[in-house]
Amino acid sequence: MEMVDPDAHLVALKVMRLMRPTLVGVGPVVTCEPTDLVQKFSSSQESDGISGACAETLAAGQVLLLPQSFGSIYLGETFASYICVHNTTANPVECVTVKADLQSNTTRINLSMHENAKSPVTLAPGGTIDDVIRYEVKEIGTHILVCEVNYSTPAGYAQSLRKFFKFQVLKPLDVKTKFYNAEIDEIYLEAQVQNVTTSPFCLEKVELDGSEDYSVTPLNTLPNGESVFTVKHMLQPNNSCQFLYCIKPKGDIAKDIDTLRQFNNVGKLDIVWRSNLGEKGRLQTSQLQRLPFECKTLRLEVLDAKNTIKIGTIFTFNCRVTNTSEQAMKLNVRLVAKFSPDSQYTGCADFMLGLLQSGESAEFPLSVCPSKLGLVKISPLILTNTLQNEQFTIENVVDVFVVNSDYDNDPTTHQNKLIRYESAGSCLNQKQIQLQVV
Amino acid sequence: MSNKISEYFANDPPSFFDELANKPKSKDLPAEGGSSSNNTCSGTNMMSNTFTGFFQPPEFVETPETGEDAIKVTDEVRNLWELPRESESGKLIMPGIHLQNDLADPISVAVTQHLGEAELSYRKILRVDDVTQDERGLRTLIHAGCYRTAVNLTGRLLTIYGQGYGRSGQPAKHSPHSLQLWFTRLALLAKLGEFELLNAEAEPFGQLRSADVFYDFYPEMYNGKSGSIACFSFRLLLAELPIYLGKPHIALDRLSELHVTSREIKEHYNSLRNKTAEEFWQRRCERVLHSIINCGLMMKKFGMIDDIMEGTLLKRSNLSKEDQRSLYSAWGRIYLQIGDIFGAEQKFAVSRRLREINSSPDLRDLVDKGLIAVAKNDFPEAYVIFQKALHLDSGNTMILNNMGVCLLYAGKLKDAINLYERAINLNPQKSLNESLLVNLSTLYELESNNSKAKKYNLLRLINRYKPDLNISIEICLKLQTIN
Repeated sequence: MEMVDPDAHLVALKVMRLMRPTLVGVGPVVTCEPTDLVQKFSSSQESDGISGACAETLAAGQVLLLPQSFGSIYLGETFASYICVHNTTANPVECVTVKADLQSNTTRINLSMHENAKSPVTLAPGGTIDDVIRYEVKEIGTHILVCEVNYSTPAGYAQSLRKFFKFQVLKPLDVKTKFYNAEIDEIYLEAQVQNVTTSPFCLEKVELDGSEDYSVTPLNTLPNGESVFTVKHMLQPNNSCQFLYCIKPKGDIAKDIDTLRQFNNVGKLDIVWRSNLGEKGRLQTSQLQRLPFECKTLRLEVLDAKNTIKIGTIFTFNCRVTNTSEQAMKLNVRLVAKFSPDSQYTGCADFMLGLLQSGESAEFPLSVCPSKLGLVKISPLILTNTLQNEQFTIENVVDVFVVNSDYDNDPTTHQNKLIRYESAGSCLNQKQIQLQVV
Repeated sequence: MSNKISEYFANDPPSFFDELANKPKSKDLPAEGGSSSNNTCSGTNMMSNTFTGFFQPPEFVETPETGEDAIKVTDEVRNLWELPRESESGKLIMPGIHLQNDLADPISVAVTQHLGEAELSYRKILRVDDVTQDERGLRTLIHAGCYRTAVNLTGRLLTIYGQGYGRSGQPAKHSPHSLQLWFTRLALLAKLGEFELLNAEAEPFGQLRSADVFYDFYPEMYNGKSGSIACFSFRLLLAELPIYLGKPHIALDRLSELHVTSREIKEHYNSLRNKTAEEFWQRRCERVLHSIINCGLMMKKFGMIDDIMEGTLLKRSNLSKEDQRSLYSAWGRIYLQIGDIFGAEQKFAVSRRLREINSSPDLRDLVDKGLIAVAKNDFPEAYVIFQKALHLDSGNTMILNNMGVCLLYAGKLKDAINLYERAINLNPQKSLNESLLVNLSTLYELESNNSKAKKYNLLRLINRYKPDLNISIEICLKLQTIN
């Protein structure tokens, strides 16, 4: 490319980044009382805006000010820029075209300007070709905006003027997730979103978009629909917010354990935030993977267990045990109650179930009589496969809240299904998640 | 190719605008020619030589001492303030002016530098000698917006009190009038953005805790009267001062202290069942809370702002609907600044609902609505809304200013420039304000390499019509100072 002295060009190329304007007030708020010497500090020319009301001493401005610096730009935000080509001479300039490319470390994208810029036009003296270009930045790191103007000199020579604007795209947030495999097919996801920018922003949306195999219930609102967060999802720099979701496999795969094991993609977190005067950014995580089920040979579900019972009554719950192994099993069921003064319940059981082929299940009731108020844990249940002579100890079969006999029982707190895997350890680990632009 | 780019770029820091310095001198057209050859669609709008007018001081009518809605209380109620017990009794306030001469007029300086001294003959703002050398003169100057001249008048008046240049550190006698003069001077310095001088001259006053600014200190002269000689506004200004120096956390401490004392006095009158006095101090408490919110805005403590708004300011039972509306509207705009559009819309909706039933949207509603559209990145829509607002108050500089910003974001640079130039044409004295000037200069720079000529044109107009600006003219017009 031929290097030309930029001053020699017939056109000027100007570029300005358009982040959101700033809302400013009219300058220092100075007031006095009517009995003070000057009575009033505002001149007659200042009575603009909406005056006369009691909030005029609040510095919440109404005046828009154009950005006065390039500012910072974060992944997921939209880079908007004004490009203006101006004929600086007293004669028309012919065959003018403008092109803007955004080059990142890996790609180079052409940013479209309006039609005028594409086909060669003649620029009258003082005339401009100008437009706003927009691009959602999809990569962290160095970006270069390359603007190129082509035109012909009066002598008919093709001329080219290029300008380069370099900027860094920074990372706006950190997302960490923790999965908990709960008793049944339910999975709980804890997502921690941290603001790693230098100014506060507002989380407008943090949503888990369930994959087609899983349905999602967000657990971040109070029963009245309000958010559990007090200060409107506002995140100061370095602060984090935690979100909780309950994830359930959808009907088809929930029924079949083998299928359930294969479908581990539960969905993506979709995050929208806004900063200064509504400047918007949006990012998505990659597919979040649930924790795999560990290899199991049987599974215990608790059916129809009440959450709350009154003391002195019998707590009966139904269990279903499924043989998830390849071989048939014959199970002995034994519920053990300790005979000690601090035992929480009385009642024990010891019986045999019929032969269970692979994939078959059997249901049976169990009853205990709680002897303490409060949360009573029924444990352990010992299942012994008499064919293989292997023993499964289920530590936490079911919990029940034991209340006094005059307690007004709320019928809505009735949980109807619990499942416990024979080896459901407390599975949790925290994972840093990759973010991408939608 | 791509590695060539980075090489090219290595010596070129990211710049907001192309550097003005690269501009060819030959293309600097004289301002008068600004429209002759190189402007097809703008420029005929505004040429300084078509302006024959000058700064016109507005007519000043003395208003009675108390405004209509002000609560009338006795001096005793107004001045109640406990003499600090462990007042640094030995330490007295010995203020003095730090300027030997008058406060320089930076507009004249810039005009001389960029346009030549001859141009100054068009500058006809009020001078100290144009007004009476007393408080009436001061009020006239402030009403006309000639703040620098007003500062210079306070200088003259304080010199009469023996507190002029070089008197700092020398014993002074304080009276209600001398302290009012000081307060006026310092408040004007804040308004002008002269924070350095403000800080230096305010320093001897501390937080007005010395005994010699209390009537109790002069039992013979004031017949055993007690209370503060310095006015409450003075205390507030001194507490707020660190905000201007970029230390809002210090201001927050001082303001909190001021608020505690004010509330105690309010409670005191409550226990005396003096309703009027209680109400009077309640308003002062609220005024302090407004300043605390302003601190919170600087420190981005939005939770604190919510607490004050919800927990205190909006709790007052005799708040008028209009007052409530303005508070909700301001609260919504604070939300907008953080980017909480939903929150802002909620507050604006409350403000709207408080409007008289069946009345059409007023200026406040429309401006709030327009700002929401801006936050949603819908600048064409915002423009239409602001335009509606302009119909309600034609010539409103704030609205014209906002419309111009919307035009730029909608890709209409020339229209934006036209709009601003027309606004200045229409009412130069009012339109040439700081934000409009910054915005228009920004547009000039974006438009072409010839911005300097156009900015000099603006400077000519400022010279004629503007007594003062509260930010430096170099920043306002983005003029590179020539060394």
